[in-house]
Amino acid sequence: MVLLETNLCGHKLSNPTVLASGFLGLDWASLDRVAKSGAGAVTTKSCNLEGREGYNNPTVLANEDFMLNAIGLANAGVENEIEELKILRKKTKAVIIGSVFENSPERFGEVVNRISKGSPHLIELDLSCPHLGGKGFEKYHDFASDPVLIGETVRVAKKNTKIPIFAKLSPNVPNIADLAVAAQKAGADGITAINTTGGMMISAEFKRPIIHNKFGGVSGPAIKPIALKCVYQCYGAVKIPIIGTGGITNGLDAIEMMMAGATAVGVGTATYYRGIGAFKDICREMEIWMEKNGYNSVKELIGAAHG
Amino acid sequence: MEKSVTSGYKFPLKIPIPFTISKIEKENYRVKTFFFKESLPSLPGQFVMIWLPGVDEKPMSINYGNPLSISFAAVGNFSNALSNCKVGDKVGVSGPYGTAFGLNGKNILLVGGGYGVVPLRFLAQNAKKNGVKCTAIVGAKNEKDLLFEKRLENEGCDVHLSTDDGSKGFKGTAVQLAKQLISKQKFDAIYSCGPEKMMFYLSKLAQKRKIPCFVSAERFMKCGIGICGACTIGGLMSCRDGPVMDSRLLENIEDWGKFHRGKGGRKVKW
Repeated sequence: MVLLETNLCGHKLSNPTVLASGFLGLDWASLDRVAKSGAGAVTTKSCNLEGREGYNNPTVLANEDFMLNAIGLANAGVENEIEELKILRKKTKAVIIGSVFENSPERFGEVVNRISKGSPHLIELDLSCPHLGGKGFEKYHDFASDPVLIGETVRVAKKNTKIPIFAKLSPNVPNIADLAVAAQKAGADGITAINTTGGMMISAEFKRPIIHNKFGGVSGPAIKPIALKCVYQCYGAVKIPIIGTGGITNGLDAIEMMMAGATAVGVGTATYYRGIGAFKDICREMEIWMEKNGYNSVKELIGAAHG
Repeated sequence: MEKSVTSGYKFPLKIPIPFTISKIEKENYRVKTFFFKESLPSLPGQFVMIWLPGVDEKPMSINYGNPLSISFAAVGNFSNALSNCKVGDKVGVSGPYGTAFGLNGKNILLVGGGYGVVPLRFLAQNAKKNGVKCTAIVGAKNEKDLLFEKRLENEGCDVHLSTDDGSKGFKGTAVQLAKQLISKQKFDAIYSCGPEKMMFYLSKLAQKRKIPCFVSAERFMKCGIGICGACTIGGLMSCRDGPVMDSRLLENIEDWGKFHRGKGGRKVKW
């Protein structure tokens, strides 16, 4: 028997798998289904104050190696999210992470304040969607790369809630550790790394980008090396827990990610390759590997690759 | 060594491939059928994503798989742009996606509302091939919206028409007509595609008469591959868990027959 239990800011997860934001989490019923399918924690689709319709299709492309998406942070607004969260809290024992985004530190603070009414266990600040644009969000990408702005946003968020704050960081920067340090200094309780990395696909036959928004975010197996590096760098620079996300498809991926320094692992694109059963499958594969290699608890894995 | 981390898993690719329109047939005042040069191995009830570069990409029921054919009504921005395509034009196609109508029993009833009859024609073709007797109800608001009467007859279906205003065939809803037919003969299974309210009441009727009922439940879709969550019906993704579902799965879902969701995910009353 190996123990899969892990802990994020005092909240016990039955296993380290966390549904990553943007996947399936539109309503309480989907999130409850994912929790019942074995996820240790579930993250809601990111919401903002007023909601957004998102982009036209194609919004998602996928092949054997990666997924490319530009859904455009479609959501029904924070008031709707609060209602979904209230029901979800009653339905599931899994840890719930409420994900939010906005276009200024002040508005981030307001959306954090409001989503707290839905009582998620943790709140994740989506500072790093690589393809968000449109009216009001022209300067959003500054959040992904500016440590001063990240610090300010985390500080305002912390003032607006008692719920632990995770900062979700972008890999599209020279040194992600600088951003993690800025978030920790400002009082962040944890880091989620990484968000998708910017990318595009072009159809040679049609001579144009395929994604309607032209650019999107790449996820899946192709970005695992990038995610491992970023989590490794963050772990070396901060003390707060990290949800390591990016390309986790099987149990060994999850183990490598924890060895890089993750306390829990985000799983998203794996649900495309393996279905909703991905969470249970990953856990089982972790158990088998750990038993074979003499580990008793996933806690022994965290940061093990740092020697 | 395995070729790729994902090589052991089963998942549909989501990359559009250019398909060339080879023939266009007009079905009624707003519905057209496109035939493509290329084929796509697929099953009745499954759908393809059709990409019009620069416009949008939408799910479309498969009408024929070999060669691929779709039928659609020009009702919105995307379908009007698609309707303007000519023979020889290329569109992006990916799929097939979603679940399919299987065949249960020897005598089946198809209930199609509006352009919901499209996948049922494909099912009728399969039924004919397998020696399954097929009765089909084609329902519409009025005569000019009726669709596929001839195509279903060509597949050997006993076709019954219903219009809300009585302009052709039975005057009333397709569900009312189904009720009449069910009381006259024994059906092994019912298959339906069309407006959700219609399928909702048909499911209730089937449940009362203890007839297995399969419906094609469609919601506003984005990804088409079961990951974005936009098409949730109480946690079931209509693109991957559906669109074809056993109606018993939907019975206890509070949104079923009552609410769908808009582009941003907000609930809208049917």
